[in-house]
Amino acid sequence: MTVDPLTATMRIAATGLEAQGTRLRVIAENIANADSTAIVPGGDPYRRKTISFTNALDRSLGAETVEIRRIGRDRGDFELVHDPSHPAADEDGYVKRPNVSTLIEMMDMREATRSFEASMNMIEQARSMMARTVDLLRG
Amino acid sequence: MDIAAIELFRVAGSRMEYLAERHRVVAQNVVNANTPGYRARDLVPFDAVIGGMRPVAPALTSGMHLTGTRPAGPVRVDRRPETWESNPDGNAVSLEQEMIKAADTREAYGLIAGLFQKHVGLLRMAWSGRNT
Repeated sequence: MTVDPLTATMRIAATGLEAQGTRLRVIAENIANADSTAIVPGGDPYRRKTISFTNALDRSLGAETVEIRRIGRDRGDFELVHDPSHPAADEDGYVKRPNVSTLIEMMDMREATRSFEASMNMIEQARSMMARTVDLLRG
Repeated sequence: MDIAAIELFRVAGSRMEYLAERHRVVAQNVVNANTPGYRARDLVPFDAVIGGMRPVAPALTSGMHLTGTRPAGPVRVDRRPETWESNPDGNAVSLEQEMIKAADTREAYGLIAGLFQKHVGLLRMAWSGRNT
């Protein structure tokens, strides 16, 4: 069964909201763990999480919605800081810091917010178009 | 009386169908604005739809023939429209452009709905014989 295009618009936009919402959650995890080092000497600290999207055909809507392809880990190098008194310091006194850059996370967050708002905008416009159609009955 | 027999109502109907469908395609572009490798899509312009040729479909001469998968309505998707920008990850969706398309679509929808209403009003005036 096919859905009318305006209802389909709302459902498609809802998948966008969900995807960007999950992205914001991943960003929040990264920012919250920007200082999470290991608890054992020489251990690895928090590794930054990444998220990627893919387009998936939704047969009931006849449209391509967005889905989360993978939440992975950033394989970038950790920064070494000399701090011998830290509990996670190795024998040379170096501590591995998480590979989270708050600046990059902020940029990512802005982009996610912008995409979220764009999807929201599509829902609002579809609603107003539906309301306009119903208004036809008033004559 | 069949209201679709009046040319104006028929065109208005297919225009509204076209605009709703375009809104759906724009929504699809918007949600895929961060999908690597996704290119924005659009519909073939409406004047090509009413003025141009209808899509040709093979005739069904037996009940066992399958119908085609081509859309039967007045809309056709243009898979490679002009886009404003593309990213290094192969994504070619410009949110600004999509927002402009969505606003355009909504305005045009309001216009055609208003036109529809006016003409219904005209018919009603003719039927009642009074200037309401």
